Amino acid sequence: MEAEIIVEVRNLRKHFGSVVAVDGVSFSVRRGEIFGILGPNGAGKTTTLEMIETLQRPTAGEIYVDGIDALRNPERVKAIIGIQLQSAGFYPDLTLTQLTKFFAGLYGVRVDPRAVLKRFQLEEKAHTTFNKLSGGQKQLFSLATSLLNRPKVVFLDEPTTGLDPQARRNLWDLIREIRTEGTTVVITTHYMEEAEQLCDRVAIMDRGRIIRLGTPRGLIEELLATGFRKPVIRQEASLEDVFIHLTGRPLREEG
Amino acid sequence: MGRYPRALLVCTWYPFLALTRNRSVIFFGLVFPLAFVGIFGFVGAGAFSGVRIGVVGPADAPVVRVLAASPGVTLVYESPDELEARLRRGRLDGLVRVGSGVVRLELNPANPQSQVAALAVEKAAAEASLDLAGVSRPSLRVERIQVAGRYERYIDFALPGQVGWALLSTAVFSPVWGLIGLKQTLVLKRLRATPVPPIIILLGQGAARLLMGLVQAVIILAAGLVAFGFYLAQGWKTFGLLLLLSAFGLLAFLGVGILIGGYWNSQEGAIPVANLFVLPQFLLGGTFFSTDVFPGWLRFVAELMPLYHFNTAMRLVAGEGAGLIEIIPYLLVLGAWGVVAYVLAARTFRWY
Repeated sequence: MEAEIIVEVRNLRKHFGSVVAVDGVSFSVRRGEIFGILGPNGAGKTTTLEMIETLQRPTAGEIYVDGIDALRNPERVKAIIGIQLQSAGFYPDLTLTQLTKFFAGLYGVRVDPRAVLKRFQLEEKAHTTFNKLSGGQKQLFSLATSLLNRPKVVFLDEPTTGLDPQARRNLWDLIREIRTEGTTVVITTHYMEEAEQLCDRVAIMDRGRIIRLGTPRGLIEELLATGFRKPVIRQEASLEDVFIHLTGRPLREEG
Repeated sequence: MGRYPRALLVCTWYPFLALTRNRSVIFFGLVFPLAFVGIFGFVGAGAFSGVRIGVVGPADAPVVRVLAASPGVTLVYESPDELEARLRRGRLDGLVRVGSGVVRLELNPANPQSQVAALAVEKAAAEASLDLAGVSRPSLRVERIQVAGRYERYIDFALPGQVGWALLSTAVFSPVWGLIGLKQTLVLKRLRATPVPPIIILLGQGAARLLMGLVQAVIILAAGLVAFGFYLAQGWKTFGLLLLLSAFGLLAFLGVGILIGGYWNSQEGAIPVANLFVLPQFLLGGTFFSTDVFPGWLRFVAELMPLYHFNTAMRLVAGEGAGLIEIIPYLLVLGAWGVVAYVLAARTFRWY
């Protein structure tokens, strides 16, 4: 059975002068999945994402989001997607309530700021300015604003970079919840564990190209089939497991 | 409300809120110019508060009584030696020795106020001698009429210049710091990622800063009015026209600010350029003194500057009661600066 495609990218290229940031990338994202783009820094993940978000214009290639040509109708695409930038993107001196109303106005929707903030465990920060939030709270708020317009697909650019393990796991739960509600999620990360835990399918990027695409399990099987064996002793638990076990899994009040 | 009007409203209101919460905006836009207004107000009050005249002789002598009642004259009683010493040091503007049938006035020619003191004493002596001669109704009377546009006090010259300078520096530096800051914190990028057309985002940024500038103009003018009795030729009508002129000037100055802040992505590049635009105008644009004192070539340079035209129009309106028609030439020059700035800004603007 062929799943329905929501994001379609064909032969996407982006040159900055003589530097080739994205070198002919093609892939499609299925409706309702969590799709990961993996790769080291500078692999072209963010540039690829921003071209789909219509924030950067490709040098060549085609992009369709929910059937809409993103190069011809950027405003229509913007209306049905949610985006989270790699960092901040909010007026530092405004409170979360003010920022929520601001973005609701930008997306032309009416929301109850309290309900929005409550869902992301930020109700106590309603009258706190953005710059006073911890890193994890900033990412939570950023995610909250990316969902205000009830988007069909959200793009999250390294949402867990710089977060502590609790905050990261908390964010994973929220991302799974968003998917359960029917929103497709495209996420970039350079944490392999995150991709393995969270993503239905991943594209591995390096130097502007996609070098492998598949399910995390499938890619691992593929590697094992070549005769590869991990050269380390099998561990029943990692130090991270110890840390989580000792400090408790749920996100605690930060900063 | 329609989709775009609402978008423009939120694109104006929340950036405006953010401006009011920004300490450097408040400091450079309000505290700084208000401090200048205060300084010039008090300097003016001190320098033109009148003359100090020392008196040797009885306080109830007719000429002394008339002098004591004269506006702008302060009488000083001390020992003759002390008064003479003060006169030499310039701390007295004149010294009067009252004898019978004669009033001796000693002056220090090094003191520019001494002529004012001499006038006051001669006037008092004339009045007193008419009184002594029993003339209650002089046959010749001098009527004094103040001519509009003559700056009696420095504050009336300085305040329009302070408004002009405050608006120029806010309108240029606010988008230069602001827009570049918004680029660096990715705020502009995040806004650009919403379905609102980019021009509405930029219009909102401009409108928010226009609003902030008008708030500043009102506060500075009000401070001048309340604290120093700033002269408005035709009352509220003049006040309204000053605000309209402020809005027009702000639009033109903002164009230059948006041009600079839109093109550069770092403050290091933009700030020197902004200073190059603002500082010469601060010195030459008629902020502190009239451009009349410059040699011809310097005046030519000064009169190319938008601030000169803004300040001149402000003074014409405030001091001489000029109407909209009379200041149109100045508005045209401001408008030309604005048009050039916005056209260039539209071509060179970078979002991130």
